[in-house]
Amino acid sequence: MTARGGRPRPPFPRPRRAVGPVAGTVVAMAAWFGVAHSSGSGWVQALGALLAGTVVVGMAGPALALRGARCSVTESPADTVAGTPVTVTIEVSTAVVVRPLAPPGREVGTGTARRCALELAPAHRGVVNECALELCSAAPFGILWWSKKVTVALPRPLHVAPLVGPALPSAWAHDDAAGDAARPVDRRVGEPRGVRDYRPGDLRSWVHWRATAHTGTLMVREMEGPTAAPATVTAVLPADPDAADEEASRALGAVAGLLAAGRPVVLVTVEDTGVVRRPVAGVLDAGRRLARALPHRAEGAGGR
Amino acid sequence: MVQQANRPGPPEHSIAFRAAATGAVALAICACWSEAELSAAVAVVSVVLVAAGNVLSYRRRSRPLPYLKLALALAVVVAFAWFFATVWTRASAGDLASVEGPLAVLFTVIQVTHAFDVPARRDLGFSLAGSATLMAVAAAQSVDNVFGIYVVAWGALGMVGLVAMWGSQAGGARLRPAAAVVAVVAVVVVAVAVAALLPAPHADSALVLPAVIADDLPISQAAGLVGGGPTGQEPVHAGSPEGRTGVGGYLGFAGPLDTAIRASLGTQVIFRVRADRPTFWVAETFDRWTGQSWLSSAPVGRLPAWRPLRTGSPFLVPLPVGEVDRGSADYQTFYLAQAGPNLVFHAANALEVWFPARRLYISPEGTLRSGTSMGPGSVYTVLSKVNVASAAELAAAASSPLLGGRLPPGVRAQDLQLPHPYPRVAALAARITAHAPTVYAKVVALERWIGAHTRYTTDIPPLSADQDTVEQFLFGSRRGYCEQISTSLAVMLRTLEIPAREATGYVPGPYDPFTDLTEVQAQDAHAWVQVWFPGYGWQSFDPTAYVPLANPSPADAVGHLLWSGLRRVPAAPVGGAVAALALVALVVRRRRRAPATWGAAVTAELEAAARRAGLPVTAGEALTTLGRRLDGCWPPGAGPPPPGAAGLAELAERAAFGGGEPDPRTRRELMKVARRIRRGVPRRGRGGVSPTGGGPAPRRTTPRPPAAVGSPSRGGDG
Repeated sequence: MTARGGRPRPPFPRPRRAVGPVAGTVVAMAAWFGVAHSSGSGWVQALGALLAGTVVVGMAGPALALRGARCSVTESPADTVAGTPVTVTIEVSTAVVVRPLAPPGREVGTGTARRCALELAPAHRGVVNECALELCSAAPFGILWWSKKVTVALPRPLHVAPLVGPALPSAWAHDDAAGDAARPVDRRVGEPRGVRDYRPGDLRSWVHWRATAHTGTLMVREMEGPTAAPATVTAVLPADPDAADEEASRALGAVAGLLAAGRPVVLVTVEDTGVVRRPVAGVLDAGRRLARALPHRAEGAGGR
Repeated sequence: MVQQANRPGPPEHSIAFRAAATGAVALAICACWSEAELSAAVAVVSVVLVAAGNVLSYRRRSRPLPYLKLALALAVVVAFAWFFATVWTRASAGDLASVEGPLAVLFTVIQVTHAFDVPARRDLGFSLAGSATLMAVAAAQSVDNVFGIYVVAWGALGMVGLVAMWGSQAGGARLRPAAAVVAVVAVVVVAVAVAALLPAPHADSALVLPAVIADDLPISQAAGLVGGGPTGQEPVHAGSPEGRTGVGGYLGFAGPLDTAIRASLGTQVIFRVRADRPTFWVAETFDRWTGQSWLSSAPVGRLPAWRPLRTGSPFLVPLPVGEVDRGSADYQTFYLAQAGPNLVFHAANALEVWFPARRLYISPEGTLRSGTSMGPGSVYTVLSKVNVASAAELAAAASSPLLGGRLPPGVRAQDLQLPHPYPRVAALAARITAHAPTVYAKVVALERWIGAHTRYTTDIPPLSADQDTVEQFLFGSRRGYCEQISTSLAVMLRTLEIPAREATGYVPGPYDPFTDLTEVQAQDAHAWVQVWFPGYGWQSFDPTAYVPLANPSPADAVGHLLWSGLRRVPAAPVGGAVAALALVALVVRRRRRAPATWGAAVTAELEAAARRAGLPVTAGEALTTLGRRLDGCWPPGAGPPPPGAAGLAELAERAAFGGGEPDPRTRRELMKVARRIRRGVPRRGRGGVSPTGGGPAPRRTTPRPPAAVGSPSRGGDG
């Protein structure tokens, strides 16, 4: 709704690079009619009128074709990495050439099908909820191209994770607090947490006979072993998008390295809701967190 | 920038675009041939080469032939050299008007050479544009509507090519039929509007005034008159010899004008005229009246009366005797369609004549004859001074042209000559003009009297040799044709001592807005009266215009009125606009009536099938229920095509209530099934069975509860 209460007007198509074709056409038509007038022949003038009609319709037709053109994204993935193309499926109401603007991508002609795949290649990390597209048409005669910018919502947010940066030095992956390195946690020690089904390889001493008798299947004790102390990675992103991407990339690299070393990771980011301090389940989760991460604000600089 | 402009574009793979462009070029070459701009041999070879070149270009579109561009460039350079040499030669000879032929050849050679190197979309676009220039060269020479066939065909090919170009640009898009129709209609409407808004090309705006003589044969007798035959002094045979007189052609363009007989005139186009203003096209004037025939005071062949004009084209024509140098100058270009007399038509007084002959002859009254015969295709241009005085000016002219009984300068004795006194005619004329003080008032009074008391018809027998045309017309049947009507007025005026003479020629026929030419047919031949006014010279009066047709029935009169009104309407533009509007209305109506969604379309088909089968269709019934009843209509052993009406109905309901539509291909297939069901469902009482198995379905009396909105009904009828 607009401020005046009416419906927002759809964007009107605009001609692309129209000066040359229009000026050329005007000059050609003027020359044509000059020749027709001076030759004194009615058929030359009639032919010129036919050409003028074709040119006028060819120049104005795309505007009408685009005026009612509708576009929607019907399918889109949930995750990608910055710079990596993803394919979304779009549906348009008329034959057009679609050019992705934000995120950028490769233009594609819809052809006879009203549904086609569009490649988007987001350059920066972030959460993409909608994409800006340029619908281009030169229908029906291909004389002049018109375009209309539309913003269409994605069916689900597209998390653009930063590129996985270099892993941290291996020493950082060690659990300094526990004093041991990233090695498998011994599950034979610790406090019993519960019982579970028997898995091949479990020791006989782990069998919990009472539970086995009760359930009828072989059950073993599950011990809550001593875990490594979680590593906390704080992503402090600068305001500059490129620098923020770089920083996020480094953070993701650190998280990925830690996770690969078996260390639980707590990622601290600034998101819409404020500072989020939460362990990450995996690289995908970390990527999404970093996609949502906002630039860090200096204390007191951002007001509230 | 030049490198960028010359960078070859990506190869164009669209065969439709290439075929349309090739067709447009070939058609333009044919159009040039039809207008005699190209010889048949050149046209055939060019069309074959253009087709072959395009095939080669298509096959090698991704792998251009080495040195091909160089060879083509050399060919174009040679063509330009030949063109400039030809133009230079003709320009030196003062024959600039004949440049169109070499120009057409040059454009054709360029198209042929270019056809061998059209790998990209831009090149094909150039081919299309080039074909437009060839069409323009042909159009500049066209004087009839046959050229419209070429224009329509070329326009269609051009539009098909452009649409194919757009489809290729948009990744194989195709224009929907409705959109194509709308585009074509829009083009036609805009073209008609542009043609209507632009000022029509006039003869005086031409850079070069056309003048060509075709089939010219020298006339043995100087200033002799040639008829339709190769030689001889005979009238023009532009009409078929039929009717009561058995004479074909108009007799007014012979030496004498015989008013006792009227020839049957056909609808053959004699010539076409491009003129600034339509007017009477004068051929001859006659001043001596014999009682049945008009003669020129200058006997045929007597050289002192016929002066040769030797200045060459353009011939400067001296002012005829009795004429006054006043009025506006107009150009008229005459395009002869039939072999005619060697009379040079013009409007009022000719000043200059562009005529490619060595000499012209002029009579003292201003009649122009050429020294050669003129065949079809001859063209000449005349600059005429149209001396038309207004009614007020003529009314204010001197009351009597005679100066104290003496002839004023410019009037000769034969302009008042009568073969005998005509006492009854003189008395009648005096009685009619008793209250008319001026010459103009007398002329008008006589015209009105003739209009009120005589009738026009060509269906009268020829007069016998002893009958006087005027006596017979005014005091006999009072029926006659234009020669008799105008002669009667001239003789009545002469009895009043008003100088008058007879003029013959053509009246303007229908105007063609496409060619901007007035078409003059054989039946447009006419005779009228010229009256001399002091200070204004010879002024034309047409008494026939006042004369109603003989005994017209009311239906004929109304029909004639309607027909004459309709004939004034420019048929092609108005017809085109009406057709365009009708098409638009048809498309709009169809679009409005078309179901908005696929589900609605299926519903409409199934309901139509139910009506055809005689099943009641109620608003509250679920579509699946109707589908099941429809499936039950088929006789045992037969059935609807799968998935059946019920299956279709279920799909339609699912689509309508949010379950998602099938993909487009499936939708099309299912629509075909729906149409087959509609067409194939047994009609009521023709072997169909009711859903319950026996006879046609009974009309339902108890309304069923409506189906729940928002969920597809899969259950039973309930």
